Amino acid sequence: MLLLFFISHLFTLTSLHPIHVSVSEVELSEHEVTWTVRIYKDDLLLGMYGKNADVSNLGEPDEIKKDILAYLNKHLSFSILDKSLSWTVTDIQPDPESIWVILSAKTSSVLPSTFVIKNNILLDVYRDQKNIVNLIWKTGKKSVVFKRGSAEKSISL
Amino acid sequence: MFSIYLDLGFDHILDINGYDHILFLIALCALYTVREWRQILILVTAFTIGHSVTLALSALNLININATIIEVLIPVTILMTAILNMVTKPDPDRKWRPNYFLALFFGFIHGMGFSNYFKALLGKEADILTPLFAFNVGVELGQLCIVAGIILLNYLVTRYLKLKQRLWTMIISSLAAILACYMIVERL
Repeated sequence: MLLLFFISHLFTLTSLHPIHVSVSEVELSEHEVTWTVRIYKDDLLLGMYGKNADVSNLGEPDEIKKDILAYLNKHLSFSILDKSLSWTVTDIQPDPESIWVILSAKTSSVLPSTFVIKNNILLDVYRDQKNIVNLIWKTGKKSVVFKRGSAEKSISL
Repeated sequence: MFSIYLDLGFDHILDINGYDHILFLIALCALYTVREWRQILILVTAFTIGHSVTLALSALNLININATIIEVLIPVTILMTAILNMVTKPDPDRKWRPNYFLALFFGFIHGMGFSNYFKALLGKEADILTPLFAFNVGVELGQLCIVAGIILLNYLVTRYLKLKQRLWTMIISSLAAILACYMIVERL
């Protein structure tokens, strides 16, 4: 019976291996943070507008850009001494499946070696969503994964 | 970076939401008892060589095959393995079996499936060798856990439930074949 229950449960799962991942590269310099994030387009639309959104009628590109910035401002943060940086969209580059958004922010003082990053992109949509962040600075590189239950991390370079 | 990609490889193969690779390993090992661990080792090694080769080639963009085709071919490999299990007569003395070569060939297909996921994990970094190696090691470790689980389950079922090995093979292979057909239809 247990085996039958398990097998019937398998049919309810999606057997196509789903990819619920965003990848970011965060370049750190003395006075600027540049955050490039790649998100699957369909996932981003789901995150921004929900399941019932009419994706064929999204409005003007400028409006969508505003919505993307609002979404990313809510879900990506880089804080120094409890103060979050304010992002500006530098560029948006779509490719067939995903979208690359380049954000940048100036820091008021020299970037310290310890800061806090929050990345909860799509964590409320997909239980298995993983957000990979590759930090790159002058003398090193570090990767961090954000997922449900660990959407915010203190980073020391 | 190494441990991050190792975890991602490990989680990927053990992810029950995408159970196709798990099901393939179950079908691959269904024919064998714990005493036939040498044959299992050869089979799993052949599969590992196969998927490591195409994972690397595809990740390095040396081969590029449509992901949709690969997603359909993966359940086809499960179905063929299950059918082969059902028609193969048990012969523990036979040294070389056709399924060793099939495991290698099917490994090529699964490797391309792994690479579709692996490529999704990459940013714009120039060096992909470290993530690639770490991801592959993670997949291998996950694969070992699955194989160990199958062998243990086989041992418990044949030892304590007194199920004949042949019946066990037929049950597991039939279930794998049904699920594989479902996946093929869903992905077409």
